[in-house]
Amino acid sequence: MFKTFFNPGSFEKLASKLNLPILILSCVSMITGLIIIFYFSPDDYQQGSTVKIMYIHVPAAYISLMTFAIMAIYSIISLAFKMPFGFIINKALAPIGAVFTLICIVSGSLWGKPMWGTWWVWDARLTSVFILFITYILVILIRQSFTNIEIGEKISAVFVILGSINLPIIKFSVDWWNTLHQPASISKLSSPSIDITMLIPLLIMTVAFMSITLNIALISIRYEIINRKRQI
Amino acid sequence: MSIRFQRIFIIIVSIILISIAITLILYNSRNNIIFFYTPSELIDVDLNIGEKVRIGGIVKENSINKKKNIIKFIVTDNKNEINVNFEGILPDLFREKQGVVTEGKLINKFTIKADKVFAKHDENYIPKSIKKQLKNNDFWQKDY
Amino acid sequence: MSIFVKLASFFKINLFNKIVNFLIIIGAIIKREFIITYRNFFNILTIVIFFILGIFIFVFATGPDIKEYKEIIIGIIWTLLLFSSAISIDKFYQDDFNDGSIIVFYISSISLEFYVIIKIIISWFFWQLPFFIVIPIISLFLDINIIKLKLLLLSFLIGSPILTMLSSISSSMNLLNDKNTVIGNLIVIILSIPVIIFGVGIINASPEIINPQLNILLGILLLFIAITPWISASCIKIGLRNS
Repeated sequence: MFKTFFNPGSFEKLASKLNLPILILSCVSMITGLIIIFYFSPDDYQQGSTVKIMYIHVPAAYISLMTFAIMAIYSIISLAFKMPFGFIINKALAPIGAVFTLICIVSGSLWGKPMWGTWWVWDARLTSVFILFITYILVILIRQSFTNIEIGEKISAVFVILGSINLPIIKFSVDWWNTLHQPASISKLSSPSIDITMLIPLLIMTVAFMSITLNIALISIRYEIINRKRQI
Repeated sequence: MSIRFQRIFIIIVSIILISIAITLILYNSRNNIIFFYTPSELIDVDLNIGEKVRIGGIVKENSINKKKNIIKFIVTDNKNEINVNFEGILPDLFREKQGVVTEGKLINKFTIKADKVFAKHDENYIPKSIKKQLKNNDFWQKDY
Repeated sequence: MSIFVKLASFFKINLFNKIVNFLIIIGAIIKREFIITYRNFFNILTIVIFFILGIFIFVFATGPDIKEYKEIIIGIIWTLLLFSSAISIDKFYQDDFNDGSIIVFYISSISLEFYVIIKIIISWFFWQLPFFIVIPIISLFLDINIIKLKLLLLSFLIGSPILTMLSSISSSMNLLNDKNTVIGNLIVIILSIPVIIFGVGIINASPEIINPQLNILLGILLLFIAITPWISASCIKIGLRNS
């Protein structure tokens, strides 16, 4: 089971099998999600139709956090057990995470302007997400700035581990400190404070975003594996 | 002192340090990294007049008073109240019984001349139609 | 009883000798670092002058009216302190790495973590202590009152070891970096964001939340003390293996 996720050969086999189903899943869920959002999901009692930005903003934020967490786990394992496969994953996931963080920031500020009355404030949540974005870019840059790619990969993995201190700060910043950003709606498992008619499209969009991410990641991981095999 | 022994020594020391650090940070950060004060907190802390502050709370019912460009309203947290004077454009979400964060200078202990007003919305997302029903049944309670 | 006797003899012969040996090696390293840094004193002077010039440039750029920038001057001082420690990172491990002395220490049974700790202490002593003389002099020029000056020195006393450790991390990451040397400074700057927030926050905070803010800064310091040796040592190891 674990071998599949750390052995490039078997991972590539799995990836080539999964590629098509995930592509179909992402198309289907994206289309149904968008249809539900635009035609069936109700307006919010306070925010009106602006609430529909949430269906982009929240999944993008999830993806940006999750991608970094996966990168951190793979970096720790591959540095500790000397498995270069984790570095391939880092290389594939970092640009995706950066793009989704950017989507999260941009859609958030588009949401913030009509609702809060400002594009940007320096409260704890927004600042820490911005730091996450810069961290992603630095991970990519560190990798590029060594002539010997092997060292660049290892150093950027170390930097990913160092940057993962930021993840719990992002997650809990809205609970620990009073921020302008509202607290999480879904993480309260007992009773999510979001109505079921809005929760369903949000979940569908999350699935869509996740499958898109997975799709791009699998393609670029496969590309990297094949490329390295050819070099050897 | 072999290298292994040094490593173990440093591991133990750093685990102790990390646990002390985390308790220090979590214990102290709870109420001190703040984007805004609530009105009660603002009255508790001693701030000089003319200092820049942010306060957050709910706009009191029937307190919005517009005269030309100057808008006056009261921010409350159900215990204490702060008067706010503001000149400028309000966000869409600004209305009575709505959470706001205002940024400005302290004129006197209970009054702020605001430069900016941000509307704060809560984490509840409820469709308009259901909200009406809830309101009719007196089931709806706003928690802050 | 025999076990105790055995233990005692073991400790007397083995451990005591080993500890003495270890201390001698560490003393030698410290002495060597002291001599090297002392001979490179002009570098330190350059950094201090960079700091002073930065402050002056800021004053010239904003105009001579002191009241205008009284609220932000602490932030400016902290920013320039950060920049001056960010541009002084190149010399941290690079010389030792290039002439091979790191390998010698490693062979003589000093773990890289201990080496990093020694190096951090020494370079804090030489690179950051001069600022404790410079900041009061600068504050005379800028008309900072004595209470704020005390708080500034206190926050810098806690914050400056963190800046040194950030320099250590970024310098060890960039040992073999040959394409893009600015990235080292970027790493220092992005990791120093919490230090800046709380370092400046202490001085501008209202009196009753100074203590919690100081504690948080202290917590960040302890956290960095705990993790820096590991990160720096692992990066140096990566460099050693691949060079």
